[in-house]
Amino acid sequence: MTAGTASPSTWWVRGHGWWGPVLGLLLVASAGFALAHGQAGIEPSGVVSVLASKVGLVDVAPHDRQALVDQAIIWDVRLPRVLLSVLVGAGLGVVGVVMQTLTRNQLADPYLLGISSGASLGAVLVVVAGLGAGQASLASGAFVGACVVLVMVLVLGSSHGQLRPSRTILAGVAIGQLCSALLALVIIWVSRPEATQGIQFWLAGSLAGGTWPAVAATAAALALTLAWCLASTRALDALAFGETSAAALGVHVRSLRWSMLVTTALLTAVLVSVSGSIGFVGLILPHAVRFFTGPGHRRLLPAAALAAAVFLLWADTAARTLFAPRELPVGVVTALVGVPAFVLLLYRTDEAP
Amino acid sequence: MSLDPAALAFERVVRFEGRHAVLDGVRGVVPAGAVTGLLGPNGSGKSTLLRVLGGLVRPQSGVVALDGQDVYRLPPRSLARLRALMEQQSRPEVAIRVRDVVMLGRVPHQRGGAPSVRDRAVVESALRQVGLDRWGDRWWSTLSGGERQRVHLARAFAQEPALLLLDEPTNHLDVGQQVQLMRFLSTSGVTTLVATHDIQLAALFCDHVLVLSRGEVVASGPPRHTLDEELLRRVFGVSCLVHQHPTTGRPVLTVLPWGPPDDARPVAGRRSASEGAAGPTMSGRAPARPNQRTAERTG
Repeated sequence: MTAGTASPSTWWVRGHGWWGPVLGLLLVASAGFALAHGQAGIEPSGVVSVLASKVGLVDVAPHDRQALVDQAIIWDVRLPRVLLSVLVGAGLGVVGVVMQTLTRNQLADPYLLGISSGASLGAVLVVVAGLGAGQASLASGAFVGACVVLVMVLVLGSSHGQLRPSRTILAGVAIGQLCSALLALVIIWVSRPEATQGIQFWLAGSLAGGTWPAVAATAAALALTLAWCLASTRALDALAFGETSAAALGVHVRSLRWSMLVTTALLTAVLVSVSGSIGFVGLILPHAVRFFTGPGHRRLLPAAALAAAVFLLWADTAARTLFAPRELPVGVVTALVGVPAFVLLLYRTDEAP
Repeated sequence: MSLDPAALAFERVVRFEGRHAVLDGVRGVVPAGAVTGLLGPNGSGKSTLLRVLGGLVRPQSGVVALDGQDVYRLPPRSLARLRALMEQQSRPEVAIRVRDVVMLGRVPHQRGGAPSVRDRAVVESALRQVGLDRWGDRWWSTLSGGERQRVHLARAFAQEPALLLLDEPTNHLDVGQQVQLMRFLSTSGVTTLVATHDIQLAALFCDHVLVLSRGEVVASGPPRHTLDEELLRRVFGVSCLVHQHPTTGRPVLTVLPWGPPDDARPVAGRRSASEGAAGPTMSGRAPARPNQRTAERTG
């Protein structure tokens, strides 16, 4: 990072707190825009009246068929999907920040521990076992797969009851690869189109499965994780110079690492089971946000959550409207935007002494 | 503990790493308000002792008392408000500014939330103390080694500790900065234990030295009573002359280019644990070999 080296306190840096309201407003405006856009052309006024009637401000005439259709589209399709993109984006942003801090690795992302591969395998196994290919059963399979991988990684990554960070990452990479290999094997073995579709969904990521139960589950997981992370912001800050340095500042490093890894991994499992693995959001957004807020987690965590939420919301809106009626996997959109950002990041990292 | 006032006292500290006793019945005191030098060759256990005394590593046995309190019974946060440890630092992986690094010293005093007015005041005063008061907004990555060392020192001061434990703080510093840092420590009034390879610097600035060899304290006391030719020969395996400087009254070392006589090389055999526990005499002199002319002891 070279910008601002010479000049003290450039206007956008730290301490001004301008990003909170700005990102909040941006999120609300983006959500409004996303709600009003889609394959069915519904006027913004229609969107407002549906929302108003749902919260009990206006009564809908029972025989107004158009109003009922609008209501179904807005309330049962678009709104859960919009909320899910916001929640999944926020979750990916938070987990990305925490993983990068815990591993002291700039390139850590929420899927570092192989959790997404486990989820894909779980989902495909559910299809293969004939337990149904519905959204709910796929999501449960993915969640179970993610949790199994998490437990395996934590067991392999610890010795004498202590979690070793580098070992945990190696275990995550290894188990992730194993799951991918098994996945390929299963797909070829059964050669069933639903299974192939299932893996497509989990590999590229999609928010098309946005339903109210998925929204509720994600919101609960996100709220718990975010609360825990926000309660530990200073301990996370203290890791900047490594674990010994943090321990000397009175941080209980071992329990911090355990609790953070387990809570964020569980959130990741939930995220993957509702949306597949959406790349680059959890990798790039924390870096971009850190550039504005500085490395302090008290500002970084909420800002990363908000920014990633806005980013994924726009990515998903683009994914479902750009080539309508055909839909792009949202992971394609995030990669198209994320790869150039990633290259920029590499370039900048290279410059830093 | 016999010596008073002792900010830090430790007795019979044994620390094994694997099957190797890194610290083998170490005892000593760090007097309050003074700068104590921790000397010893590589592998003598200096860094381990610092970590043990700082409560970061638990010894297998032994007592460490900080102002009369057992270090291992204090909660980590309370301990971090009493002592600061400055180690050989790793570099941060993220872009961070000087002020944020120093603010980390406030972690043990904070309960989350924004830094208080007092936190900010302490950080600014710590920056002033190390002469970096205009540097708060600089990026860490733009600092030289010596400047980074001073930032870490400011962070340690921001902890407002009663005890400072420093591991090789003069590494990466030129001689001017070394003298500046040591002079600063000796006037700060904070009880300080500083591990260093620089015997001459310790002789100049420390009020007290502890000499560690093979996991045991073999000598302790004021430098001019402690650092003599025989001890340096025995512990470091060097021939040297030690004079008392006429102006400073401090010992001046002249290391000689030839090696020590064979019988004065560091003893290769393993000491027995019970003898080790008997430890050094508090007068500061390890027992001299009878057949050797001991250095002249003045004062």
